[in-house]
Amino acid sequence: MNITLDRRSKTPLSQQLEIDLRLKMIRGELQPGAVMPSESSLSAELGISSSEVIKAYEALANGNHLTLKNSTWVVSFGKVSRIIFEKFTSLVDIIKLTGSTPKIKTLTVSKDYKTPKDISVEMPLGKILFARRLYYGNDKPMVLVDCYFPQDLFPGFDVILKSDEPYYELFKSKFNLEFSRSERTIEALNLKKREAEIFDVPVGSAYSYSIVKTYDTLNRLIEVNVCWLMPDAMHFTIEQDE
Amino acid sequence: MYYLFVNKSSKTPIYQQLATSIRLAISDHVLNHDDQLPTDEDICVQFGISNIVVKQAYSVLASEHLITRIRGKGTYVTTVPQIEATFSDFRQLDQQFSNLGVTKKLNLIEVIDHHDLAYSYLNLQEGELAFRITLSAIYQKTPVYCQEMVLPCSWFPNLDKVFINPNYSVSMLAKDMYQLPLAHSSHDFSLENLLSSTSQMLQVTRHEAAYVFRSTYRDTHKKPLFFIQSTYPGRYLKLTYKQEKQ
Repeated sequence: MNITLDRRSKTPLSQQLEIDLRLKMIRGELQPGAVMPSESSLSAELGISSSEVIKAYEALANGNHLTLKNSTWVVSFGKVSRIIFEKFTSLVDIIKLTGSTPKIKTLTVSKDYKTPKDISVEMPLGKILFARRLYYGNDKPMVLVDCYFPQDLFPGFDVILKSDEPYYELFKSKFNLEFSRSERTIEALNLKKREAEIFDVPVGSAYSYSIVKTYDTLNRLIEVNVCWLMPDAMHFTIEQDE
Repeated sequence: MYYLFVNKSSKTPIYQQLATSIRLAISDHVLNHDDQLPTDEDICVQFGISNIVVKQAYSVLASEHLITRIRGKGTYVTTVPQIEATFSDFRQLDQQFSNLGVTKKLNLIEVIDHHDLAYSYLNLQEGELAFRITLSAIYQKTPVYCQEMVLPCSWFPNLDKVFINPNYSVSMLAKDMYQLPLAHSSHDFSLENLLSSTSQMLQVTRHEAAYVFRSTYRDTHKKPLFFIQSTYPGRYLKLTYKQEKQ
């Protein structure tokens, strides 16, 4: 297997191996169903201890990328999603497109929120209601969203949000308000420790970072969110005519 | 190094003071793109501070992408602007970078008989010959993205003699020079940690997050003609996307 590890790097060898193997899967060099070399043969090939290989395999298994079948490791992840941004796709839709069952967990809700300095978003919302939510796909954390809502527009929203329903549906059912458009930035960033722990992946993993502004049919800004999206969900194909 | 300032009696950590003074020097244009910064040791000796403090200051600035540390070479100021592009215009990225003054440099032309990834995109068998060309796009002296192209020798005979100007589009070359019936293209978009070889070539942090486009160009019968992989480190590119509810 063509893998190069950097022994001088601060990143542990097992994490380097994990990242390299995941990359091979994303690129299609390792297809779903492929049998991985055994821990001992890969460790011999790379000249590292087999415990490092086991650590990497277990981390990949933890993210549903590898499965242990009859004591051999088999690739269980591949080019799943072919998301084409043609029509509006909510976070729940994106998770469904990756072939996973979505589940939402609201981690924090707070009223009269002050936006932290490190998020350079203009907040023309007046009083702010803040919610941090984690979206799971097949019980694996896939998206972390920090949402900022205009508090006065959504009375009682802090309580309703705890129902863990997708909030676009809550806008409609509870406030009879519909979104009409959104503006999104997409950046490629390396995860910092705080977020890496939430996603349970190595620090420095490449994640998609977005700032999204959503407007309703009256063209009012009804939500600003900052969202971290796992790279598996940002993997898609665009077809064009030349 | 006159722009450096440290007040040891201040409560602000010294590494922060160092970082702040370099940040100021950059914003005041005392330091400009590609200027070399003093070595860790020079600063240690000059200010009588520990090596770790200097390393800390430089690593803060590196994480803000204000400087680039190249192993065995030194520390340099990088003030390459981040391009903001709308997602639907991703085909015009080359153009946008070129408007900024980015030019492509040819790094390598070789004939290969296997390639894990490109050969599977091109439906080529191991042993079939293809040209592999690598390019890097340079802003002043800093590489901002790179491209790898794989073009089968059967479609592109004598390409090594024809491919002279790396800024000339390969699609045009295929259509005009080789009269190939180019009709479709598909573009795989993904977000990845860079491999160490690529991050070295792009002089960015190992495992930096990057956008990767893998494009396959096909003829009228959807038969693949050539493959281009473009890698854009996240620090130089920000995509934007607008959605309307139908």
